[in-house]
Amino acid sequence: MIERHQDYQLTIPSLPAGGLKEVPLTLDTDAPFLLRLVKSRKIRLNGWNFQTPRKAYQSSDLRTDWFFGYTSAPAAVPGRASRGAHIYPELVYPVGSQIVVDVGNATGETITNARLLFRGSKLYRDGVVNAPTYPAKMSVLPGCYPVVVTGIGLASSATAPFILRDVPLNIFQDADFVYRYGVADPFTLGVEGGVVPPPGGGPSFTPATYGEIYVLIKDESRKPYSNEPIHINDLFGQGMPTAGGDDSSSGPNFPGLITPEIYLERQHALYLDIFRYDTTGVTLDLHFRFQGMKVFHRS
Amino acid sequence: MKRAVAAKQNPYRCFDPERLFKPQWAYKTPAGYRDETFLVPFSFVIAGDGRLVRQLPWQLDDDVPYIIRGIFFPEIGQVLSDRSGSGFFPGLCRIWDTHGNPLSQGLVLGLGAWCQGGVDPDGNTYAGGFPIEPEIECAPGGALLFDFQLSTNATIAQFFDNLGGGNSITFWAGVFGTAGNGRTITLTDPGAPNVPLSIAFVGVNVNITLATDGGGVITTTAQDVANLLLNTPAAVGIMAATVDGNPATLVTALAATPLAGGGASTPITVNGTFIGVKRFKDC
Repeated sequence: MIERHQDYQLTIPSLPAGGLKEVPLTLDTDAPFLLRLVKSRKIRLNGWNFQTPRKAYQSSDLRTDWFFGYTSAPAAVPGRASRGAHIYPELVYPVGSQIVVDVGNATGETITNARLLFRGSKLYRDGVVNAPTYPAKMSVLPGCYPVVVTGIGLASSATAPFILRDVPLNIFQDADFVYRYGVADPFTLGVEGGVVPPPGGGPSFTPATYGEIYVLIKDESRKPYSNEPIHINDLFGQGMPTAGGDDSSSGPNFPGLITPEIYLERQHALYLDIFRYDTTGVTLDLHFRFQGMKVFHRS
Repeated sequence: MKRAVAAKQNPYRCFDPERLFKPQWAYKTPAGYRDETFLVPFSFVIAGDGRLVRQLPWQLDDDVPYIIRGIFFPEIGQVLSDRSGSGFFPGLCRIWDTHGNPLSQGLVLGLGAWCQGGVDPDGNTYAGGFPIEPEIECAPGGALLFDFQLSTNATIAQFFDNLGGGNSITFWAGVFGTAGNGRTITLTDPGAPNVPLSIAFVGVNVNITLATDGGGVITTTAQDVANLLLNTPAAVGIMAATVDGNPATLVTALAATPLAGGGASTPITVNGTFIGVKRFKDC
């Protein structure tokens, strides 16, 4: 069998006060889905619940993937986003089935764009999809591929994002690369005598921030690894928290993990589609770092 | 017939699934060898001008191979908004092992997730160590090489315009360093009714004509001035402004005033530590 990394995301554009029950997320029809982790966004401590493949709820009441908060210094925080709630043992959803979700909302107000991210993998029969893997004989080294995407502008409206499609991660010809985790941060280098970044300046080097950037990862045949673009902080982690960062388990100790790893052959590529919905802020340069291992073929 | 092999060359290793996804302590020491924990602190002084510095060496002991399994390198990464005293330097880095293999395809920001200084949502800094997997076997006496390109620590020329009542607007040169000194900012009261807000440049000097109402009274706020500079493409690299206090505070006329305080860069010291083992051959 072949396991291929897969994210499914349920976006609820308008979550009314009181919450919603039995919202369906329909899965693809090409392969079963192995669910291993659930992460929420904008739902916070309102809680969520979902049904297992046999249509039984996974918890007896609404649950959360947030840490407990605290009310003392440095600031009162009602809770903190985690990397997500682990689902162990994994749940296997059949081809074309649904993950049925309940989401709470005790805020008394409508929550816009509440999201639940279901992470895991698709399970294919051998030969159904291209699945390169390690050679019989090899040497390995830790490796990192940087991809710098410049000029990520603002959305013209809340529904018309700034879009960059097919940004490539090209693997060099010297070795295969195993993508295991990634980080992405805004950054523009400051040079003495040069323009203060971001353009517009400020009192010193202040990394530009963002709130709503989503990324779709695709393989070389443009087959995506998720059903829709995923928030960049969920997919890549980030060293520098952003506005609304409470929803992002940011910090260098939270890189975006890719499980199972994605094996990329030399001279092949991975592609990113980038969607930015921020209507305020500045144009960004984003530094993606794809971390993992280089695999040198030996004879 | 024996092949000639360089004395310090590492042998090729075959794929062994057991080596992958193991915690560091699970790496096996080959039969006939003995591992001893060993740390390699390193330190470099780098020009703080933002330019690329290449191939800075850090030589290892020449007694036995050194196996790198982790790095503690908190100082290169993202940065706090005020670097004065934070000790974190935003910048790019690349490391080469002792065999000349780069550990990244080019310079990477903060070495990615291997090591970086960052802040959590509360503003607390992180400076943790990071595992390096798979481990890297370094030749005895070999040199690890570092490339750095750190954002400059040259200071930026400024002028603080106190608007009273705890409100102010600060004008900043659009460039780092001494090049920003002497640029002037002028806020002109047009002295006429219904004049729109406008901006003009004479070289790198900025003249902003303030807006007025029907009575000729200035209606431009501090935030209006900051936004005008931010949204004027020609102002990029020349001047910017930030507002403290109430952004709706009205500004007043200002005669041509030079920005000052832009200083040259100073050298930056970065420190880190490799974590691993020395591998001795049992005799």
